Amino acid sequence: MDAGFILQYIAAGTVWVEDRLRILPVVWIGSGLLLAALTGAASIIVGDPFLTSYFRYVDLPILGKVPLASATVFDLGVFGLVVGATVLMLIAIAHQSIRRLRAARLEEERQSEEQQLWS
Amino acid sequence: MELTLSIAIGVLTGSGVWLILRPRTYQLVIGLSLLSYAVNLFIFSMGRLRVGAAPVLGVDGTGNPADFAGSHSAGAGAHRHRDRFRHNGASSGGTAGRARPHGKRPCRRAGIALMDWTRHLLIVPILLPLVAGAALLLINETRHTLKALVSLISALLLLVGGMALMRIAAGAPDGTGTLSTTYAVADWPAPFAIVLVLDRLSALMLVLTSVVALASLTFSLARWHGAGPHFHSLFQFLLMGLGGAFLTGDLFNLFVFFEITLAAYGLLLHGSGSFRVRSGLHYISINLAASLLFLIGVSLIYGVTGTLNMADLASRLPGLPDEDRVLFEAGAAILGVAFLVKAGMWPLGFWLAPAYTAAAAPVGAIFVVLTKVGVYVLLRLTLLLFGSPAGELTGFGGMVVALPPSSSRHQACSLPRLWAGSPDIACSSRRERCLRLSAWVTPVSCRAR
Repeated sequence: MDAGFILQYIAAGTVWVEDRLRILPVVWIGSGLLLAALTGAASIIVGDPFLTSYFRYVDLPILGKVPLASATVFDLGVFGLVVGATVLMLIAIAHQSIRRLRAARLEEERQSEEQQLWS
Repeated sequence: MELTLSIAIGVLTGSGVWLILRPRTYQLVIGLSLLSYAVNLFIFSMGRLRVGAAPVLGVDGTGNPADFAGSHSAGAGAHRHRDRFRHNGASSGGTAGRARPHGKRPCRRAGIALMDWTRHLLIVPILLPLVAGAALLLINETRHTLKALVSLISALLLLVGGMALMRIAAGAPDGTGTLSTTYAVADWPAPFAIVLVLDRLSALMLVLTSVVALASLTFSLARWHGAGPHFHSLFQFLLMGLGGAFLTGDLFNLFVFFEITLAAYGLLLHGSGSFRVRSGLHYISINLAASLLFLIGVSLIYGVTGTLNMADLASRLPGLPDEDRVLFEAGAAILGVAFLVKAGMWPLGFWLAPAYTAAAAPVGAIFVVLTKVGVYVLLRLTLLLFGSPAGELTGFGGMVVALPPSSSRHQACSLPRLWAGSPDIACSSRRERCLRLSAWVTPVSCRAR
């Protein structure tokens, strides 16, 4: 999933992707963390200690007997957290490209100002 | 095989250290990752190097490093103690009939049990800041007031929870009897579960943390909390790490919470500026190096005793054969060095003064608690593992180690900086300095014994 994000960055450029990025990485991190923590806390409501996981087999119409564990939801939260964190890090690195351009542009402006000052 | 592995670890460590000492950020990062590879290899080798053995555990349970280390004599005693420990954890909370057959997974009980909320009070100092911090991430950065409100409420609840825990730790009776002071996370039986343990010391530290947190959060409302992104989230995560480190009864879990307190790195950078970035880089790299030492110590101890549960560790210690005891004490000494680095003790605390000086004022205030975690753990471990001889050294002077705070005071010239440094000076009374010095001396003396 992170690779998908990064491919977008490579293919379309940083500015294009960030105009269209609906869910920010920080939101991924926050919601993932919240989901994981609340899943862990859900067992407190039942009366068991934090993070206790429940497990049972469920018969689904087509798939048949499927194992279901409450830890799956926790893992989904962790997934969101990892996606967000990785994308955030990679975006920070990707921004170096913009920053270098910006720094170069600022440098040019400064030099042209100096030239105007001298002339 | 031993030779190959040792050479590999040595080469990795050597190049890692060399790269860390280079004055380049990128090389520093690579050096740290090389060091972590070396520590990884070391940890793997702590399960003992064997050819043709079962990958993890054999069907009949062979392959446990503790058995391999030859501590069979300790086995029976440890098992007995373990049963007792589990019994304590499971049934002293006033919920009878919760002791389950050894090693069996809990199954879901029929219906919703009588909700015994006080039993879960122990997880509050960890869970509450976690949820608050995660929720704060979702709130837009422009809504300062809302964020500050959530953060303050969380800190206030932490204070209330800490005080309730203090009552429990003091043995306040609750209708059915004394409340439980252990909490097996995820309901695994005790030596395997990560156990949260409450006693008066940890409750006191929790209350201290939440008081300081509340005060510095209130102070940050004036200006600091708007100076950069995610101040409140990072603050909550830091509180979570502190709460967990004070409550946990498991050495590896302690490591995890220590790493969570590295959220302090983000806080240290809060407000930005090149001085903050520089001292923050020193802070994070030294603390990561200390973490690697921590891992080495923990893996040595695990390799010798086969457990990381502190109570279990203390019970297995007397049955340890002499040749293993040396290794164990070496592990404890390395652990001690790691904690002393984290506590910013005198010869190892060179990172402390710039970090305190650079940090924004409210962050500096919470740093005061952060550095005490190392002292707290040292106190706890030396008393738990090495018993009374460690206590004798407590009166061993107390004149030397006021250096790091006072030097930070000299460097701190502006008023908020002075304020950031001063709580440490204020609380480094003679008694605490005694504690610090004794904490410094004991692991060394234990090793020499």
